Amino acid sequence: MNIKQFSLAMLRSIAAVVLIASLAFGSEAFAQTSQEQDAPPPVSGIEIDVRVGARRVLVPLAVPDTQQPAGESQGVSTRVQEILRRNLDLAGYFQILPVDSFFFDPSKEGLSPADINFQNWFNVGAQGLIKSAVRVQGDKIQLDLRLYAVDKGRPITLKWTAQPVARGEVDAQVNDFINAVIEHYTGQRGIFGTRIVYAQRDPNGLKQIFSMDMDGTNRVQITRNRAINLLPTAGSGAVYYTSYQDNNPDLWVYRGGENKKLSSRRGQNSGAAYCNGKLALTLSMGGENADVYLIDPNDGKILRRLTDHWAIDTSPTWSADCSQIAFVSGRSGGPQIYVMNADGSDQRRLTHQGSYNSNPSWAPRGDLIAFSARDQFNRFDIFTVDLQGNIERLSQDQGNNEEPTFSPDGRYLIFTSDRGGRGKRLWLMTSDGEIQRLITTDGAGFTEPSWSR
Amino acid sequence: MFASARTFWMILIVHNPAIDAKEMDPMLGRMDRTAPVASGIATSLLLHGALIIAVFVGSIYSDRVVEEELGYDIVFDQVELLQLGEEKPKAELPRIPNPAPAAPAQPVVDNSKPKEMPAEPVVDTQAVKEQERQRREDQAKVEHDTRQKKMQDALSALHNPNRPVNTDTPAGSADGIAGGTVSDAAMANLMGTYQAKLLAEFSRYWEIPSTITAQEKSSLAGQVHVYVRLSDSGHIVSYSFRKLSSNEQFNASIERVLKRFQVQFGGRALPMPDNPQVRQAVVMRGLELKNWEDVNR
Repeated sequence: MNIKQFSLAMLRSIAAVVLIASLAFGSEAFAQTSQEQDAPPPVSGIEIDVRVGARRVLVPLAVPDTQQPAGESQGVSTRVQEILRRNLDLAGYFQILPVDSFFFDPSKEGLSPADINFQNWFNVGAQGLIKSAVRVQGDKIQLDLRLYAVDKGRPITLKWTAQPVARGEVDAQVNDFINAVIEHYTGQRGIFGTRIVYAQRDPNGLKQIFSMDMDGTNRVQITRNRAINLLPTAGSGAVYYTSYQDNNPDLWVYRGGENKKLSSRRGQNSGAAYCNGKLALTLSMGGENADVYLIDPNDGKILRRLTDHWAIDTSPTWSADCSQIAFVSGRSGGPQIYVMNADGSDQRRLTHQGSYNSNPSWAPRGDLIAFSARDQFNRFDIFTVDLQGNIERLSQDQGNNEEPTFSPDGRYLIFTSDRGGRGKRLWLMTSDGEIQRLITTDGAGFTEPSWSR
Repeated sequence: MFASARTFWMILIVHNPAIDAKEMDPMLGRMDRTAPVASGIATSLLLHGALIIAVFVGSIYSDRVVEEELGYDIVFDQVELLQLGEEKPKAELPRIPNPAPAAPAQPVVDNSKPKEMPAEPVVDTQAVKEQERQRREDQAKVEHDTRQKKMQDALSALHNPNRPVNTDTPAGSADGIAGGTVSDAAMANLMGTYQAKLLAEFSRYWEIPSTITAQEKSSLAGQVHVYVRLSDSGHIVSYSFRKLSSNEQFNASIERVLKRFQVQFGGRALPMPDNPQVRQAVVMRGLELKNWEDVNR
């Protein structure tokens, strides 16, 4: 083939390639254009800015009776439905619909979606439905707990799995489920199953230290002596408290089932606060006025003196990152809330309203400090103050409310209240004070609660 | 003072048997025992009296001296009380506002004995009918006469070459149409009125679950955008979310309020504009519900 013939052959090949390419991609482009021409533009309506006042409501939940599909569960089913209803109500987010408002018989329904008439639950006003069943398998209990979205008619996947548990662990597993339900609705896991320590006056007028779940169950007595024991605080698996059993307010620690004396300096050894390996304490060193010190949580040795003022400095509480301490000082003439750095520097007054502010508790998130204060009517109530000194009130006109302590997630407070005229009992409230519920339904004389973190 | 001391010394010498007075004081040898005592007492009285008189006279004289030196009375004129400082507001703890609920309005019920009905008057029905018939005849005659007169006047006017002719151009918009339209400003005004009524209805039924904190609520504002079509009766026939927020509970609360007005669920009717053109615009174009902000704290 000579050059001319080769060139003609090349030109024919190139022309063929161009023709094929134009046919292939051209049709695509044409199709795309026609699709764009076919799709109608979104309709544009009259714009309205919705800025209105909405109502804040509890989520209505239906919690029918727990079923026993495999026969009698020896009281476990009753226990499960009680815990579900009570603790979901305690959580402060839900309105548990009364069982007698169900105009149909829920026991005729199963647990699977196909067996549930969601229209009935919609008609009773439920947005969420909790179905529960208990099966006894020898010495183990198998729980089946499910949450349904009534308007969608389908189950909600929770971060919870059911496992066979011993009878004594049923409460913990139900609380775990409740925490998962709360996490679904709020994005944050609930606090059921956490524990608090507190002091309770006994019939002899003495005080003993106890711990219990935050819902008032599973109480354990820590001290058993014929003395006054007070101001407990939990930290790192131990409980620190002050006891007069040796005729001096000494600091004791309960760890591993044993009580041991940690600080026995003459005078006050009280109001311990633990944070990440550090223990702040009020000492009066045998006659000097009370000041705040740092001591070693293992052997009680003084590490540092934080305050050195002629007035009483007491009741330390740590910030979430253990870098600051709030405390009560009488240096301005009456007890007020002060803050300082963890090394005792930069001490400044925080509260400038009221004449008697005490019992500070620093929130585990943010810079909010809850405290109790006596108002102009000589009643004690719960307040919060931020680091700029802005005070908000959480309780009012309901007896005397004192000694607040924050939950580990900062969404709740437990405090003592004598409302109802039945002595001091422990109450739970949301951190904005809107929802308040009684925890200790039996007994009285509950004081100085401290939430374990 | 010296006289008093001497008097004391003399008393001591005279009354002390151990002391030979003549040896102590040669003058005592020539005098009687009582005379020195009396003279001492007299001297003391004289001196004390002189002192008292001097103090009394001095106090009188000093005021007079001051007045004589000044020459005028001290008079305070235009005395102004000094302000001692503003009273500090009491640093009291805040209180939660708690207005007492309004007392429910009690229906006014008149429990008094009803008044007795007056006796019905006796009416002569025949005479009444006759009067009514006469009245109707008179009225018809008057109307007939009036109509006749108007017809005569109208016929006369047709043949009046001097009757007035209206040559004014009627007022109107350059792009107006027969029957007239709502101007843009009026439309905006009417739409604003309608919007207020619509939002009041949403406010009644929008419920946000307490699982959403106030802080989360404010961050969710502006995230949801819903397009809604309404029927002429005000029911929602369809809705679609153009944009959803990051919070499923918040989105569900908005969907619940829309379902309250949805025709498929037998919902309530939303208010519709009174003006026919505005109503037509709402039905034809639909509504873009944006922002969804709860203004309550």
